Amino acid sequence: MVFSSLEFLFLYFAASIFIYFAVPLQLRNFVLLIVSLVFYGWGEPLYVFIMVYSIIVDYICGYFAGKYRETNKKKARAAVIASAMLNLAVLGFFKYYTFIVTNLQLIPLDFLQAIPTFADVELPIGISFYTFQTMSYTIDIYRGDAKVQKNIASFGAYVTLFPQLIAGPIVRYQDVDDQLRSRPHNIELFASGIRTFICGLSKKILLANAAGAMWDHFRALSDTNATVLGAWAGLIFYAFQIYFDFSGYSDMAIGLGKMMGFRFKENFFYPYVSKSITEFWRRWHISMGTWFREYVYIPLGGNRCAKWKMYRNIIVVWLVTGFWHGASWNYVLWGLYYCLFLLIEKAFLMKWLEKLPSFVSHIYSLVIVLFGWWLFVFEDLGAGVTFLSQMFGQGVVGFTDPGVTFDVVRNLFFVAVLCVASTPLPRKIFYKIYEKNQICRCVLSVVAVFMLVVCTAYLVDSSYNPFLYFRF
Amino acid sequence: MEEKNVDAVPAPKKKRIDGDSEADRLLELQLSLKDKSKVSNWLCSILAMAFIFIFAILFWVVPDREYTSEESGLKMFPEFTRETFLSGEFTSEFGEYMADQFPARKFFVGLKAVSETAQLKQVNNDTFIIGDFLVARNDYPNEDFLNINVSSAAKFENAAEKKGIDVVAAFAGRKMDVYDNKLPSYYGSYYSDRIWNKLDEIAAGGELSYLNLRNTLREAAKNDDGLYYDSDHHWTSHGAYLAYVEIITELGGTPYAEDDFRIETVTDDFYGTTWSAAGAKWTKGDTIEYYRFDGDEDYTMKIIDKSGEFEGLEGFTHIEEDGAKYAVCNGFYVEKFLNEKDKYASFIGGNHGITKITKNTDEERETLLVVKDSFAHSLVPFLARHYDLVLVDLRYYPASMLRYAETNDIDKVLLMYNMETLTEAAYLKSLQIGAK
Repeated sequence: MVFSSLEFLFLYFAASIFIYFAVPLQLRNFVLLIVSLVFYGWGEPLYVFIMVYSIIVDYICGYFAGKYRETNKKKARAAVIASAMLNLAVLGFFKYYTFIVTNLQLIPLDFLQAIPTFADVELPIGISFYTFQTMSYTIDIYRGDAKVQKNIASFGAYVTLFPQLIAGPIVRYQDVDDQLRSRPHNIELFASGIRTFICGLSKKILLANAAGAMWDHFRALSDTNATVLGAWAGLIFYAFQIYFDFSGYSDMAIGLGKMMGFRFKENFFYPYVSKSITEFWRRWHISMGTWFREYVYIPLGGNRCAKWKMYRNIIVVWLVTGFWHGASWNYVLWGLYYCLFLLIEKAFLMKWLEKLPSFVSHIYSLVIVLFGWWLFVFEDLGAGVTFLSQMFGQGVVGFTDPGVTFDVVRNLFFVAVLCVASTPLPRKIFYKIYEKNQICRCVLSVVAVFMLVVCTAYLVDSSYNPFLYFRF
Repeated sequence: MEEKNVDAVPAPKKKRIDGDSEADRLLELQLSLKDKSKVSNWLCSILAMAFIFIFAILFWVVPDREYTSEESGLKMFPEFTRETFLSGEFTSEFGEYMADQFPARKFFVGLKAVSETAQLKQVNNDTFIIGDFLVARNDYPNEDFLNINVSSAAKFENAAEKKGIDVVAAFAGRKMDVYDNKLPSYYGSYYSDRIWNKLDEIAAGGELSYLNLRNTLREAAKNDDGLYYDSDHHWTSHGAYLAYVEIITELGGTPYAEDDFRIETVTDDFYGTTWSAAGAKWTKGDTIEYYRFDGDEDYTMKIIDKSGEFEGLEGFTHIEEDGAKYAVCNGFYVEKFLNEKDKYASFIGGNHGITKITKNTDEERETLLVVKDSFAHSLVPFLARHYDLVLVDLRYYPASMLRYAETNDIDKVLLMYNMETLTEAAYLKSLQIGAK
């Protein structure tokens, strides 16, 4: 199930929030576990078992990691390794197995051809997110960043926590450890959560879906009636779609969390206002960046080691980051593409960028990011190259055609909205009004609920509601 | 940005630019105003939860709307079995069911149209909203279907002419073909011209000469807004009259002047197909006019009625003919449809496999076979003054029209289609049967 659906809002959410607040405090984690399993099972009934498996594995591994942490480092480490292996095995099988086998089969050796590919095994939703989360539990215990969670219901609630289950943010166990034991339930948090949720829902439905529909339209045209303007407009719409889709989803998760007393960290912080790629990655999908830094980059030695090692570490992190986004070569290239720019910035470019007028460094960043999305969106590299050449006038029917012109012109206002929504300006305005007085705050509340009604209208009359990070 | 220590990934524990500190600031602000914001927090929570709970309850309480012609294809509660559940089929169909049966669906559909219009998008659900004037948009209609349909028509015409049966093929434009002057200037007639050029090409290849009603009406549309309904894809009786003049001339007859008809307005709140798609609830309804003439009641209309749609309806009797059941009435109009959503169906009672219209007289009249889509329905009052009519809709009666013409004393054939039907599916393919 996804948040931006009628069945979530008017069936699942209505029932879950009612039950959650109806039961006494000590039962709420258990309720969370059960409703989260239902949430997951709605779309993937059988894959609930993978989730249960993940809970049991890390409950046990975490227990031993905690037990031997002080007394027997070897055994504690074995528990961590077991957890990593068992989680990555599941992730590896469902996400990467087919990719690896089909690539191996490019080598003409008989025994390789005989390996089954299981190409029709579907990827369990959110598996990349929850396997990472559960691993972080055992690692945090081992490192002493968190205490062992003896209550399996509470631990299960952490793993399955429906708000961030399928698209993050990736919540590290140490960040919610205390909250799982006790957390505040009050009207301030609840109302704040509702506002954050509606903000995310609006981003997803009003901005991401509409931008995505335009991208799909221009993408389809590029196969039959390609134009230069259409290709550029398409890619720009895709850049907006992926940002508002993903950050909207994170906002919804954070909002739902707040309603139930959880405080998750922000996952996006206006990445499109960045003035360098380094800055972009500090603002984009923050929880994933943090995860890779804490559990891959730093264990490898981080930057407190020989220079060549540090470069190696950076490259490894970005290879893994790319590959984490999907089992396809374009994601690997996408990771390396960013790695390249980060290294260049680290070596010398950053110093230059700081001296340049800010609009120049801003344009530089946006262009790099835009072509990054080009790498990201085309799993078929051949189709990607064709599309790129269309952007530069090769294989097109013309610079534009009437339909493309019309679609671009009629969306200009919408694009302006998208641009403004990508900056901190709306948030600042919200601050200003919110601080003013009680009446302003009440007006904001009514506006928020009105947006919820508008979003519902789009869900009722919609044929288009994709979800980009579903499969990562 | 005063960045000194640059890492591949966010550097730990340094709060320079950071979503958390920002979010914290916002939340701290909200929490610091705790006492002062009580009212607004309760207001926000109660309104939002009330909205969600009320509609959650209404969804289950309000009975599902059944399939009607007005909202075709509404999803009903999906089948629940172990298999449909485990395969995920149940849950995905449930989502569609929920959208189709959502309480106050029409209100929400309208609200979305308002929102899209407010964002100056000019188009909602592939429909141009130009004031009250609604036009379906389709840049790239299916050329393969066009090819099959027009070549089939060509083969049919050639075969029929060999047997001495006169055939006139008349193709009408969609609204976007005729009223391109009302569309945004940079959109214009580019896509219409494209598909009509394609039609010309196919027709020329199959040696089919057809009557181009798009050109006729497009010419007239330059200073006449009333050729098509604002809210529907069909032409009005007035638009149909202009088409009739061309068609009857082509068939070798003399058209009646428009003054020879008595124009009767039968409704002014017709909201058609384009209106439903656009969701633009604020636009005004259309007027439907009947072109009456003396003696237009003295006709007998027989509609094939397998399903018993017209049973028990006032003014209808049922008979058996050629082994099929027909509903029989007087005149061309089925006025009960004026009280329903699809008011255009009051012309000859909507789409049916075979509809026969004969004048109650002893004089010898020629019989015209009209192989058609629904654009032909508003031509009937005009054509019936000249011919007895047999109207065939190939979608419901995909038989050999050559055989039918030969065995049923048909004198002439009119193929009457609009571009939308020609590009929607291979409906005309059955015209090839027996037409080598």
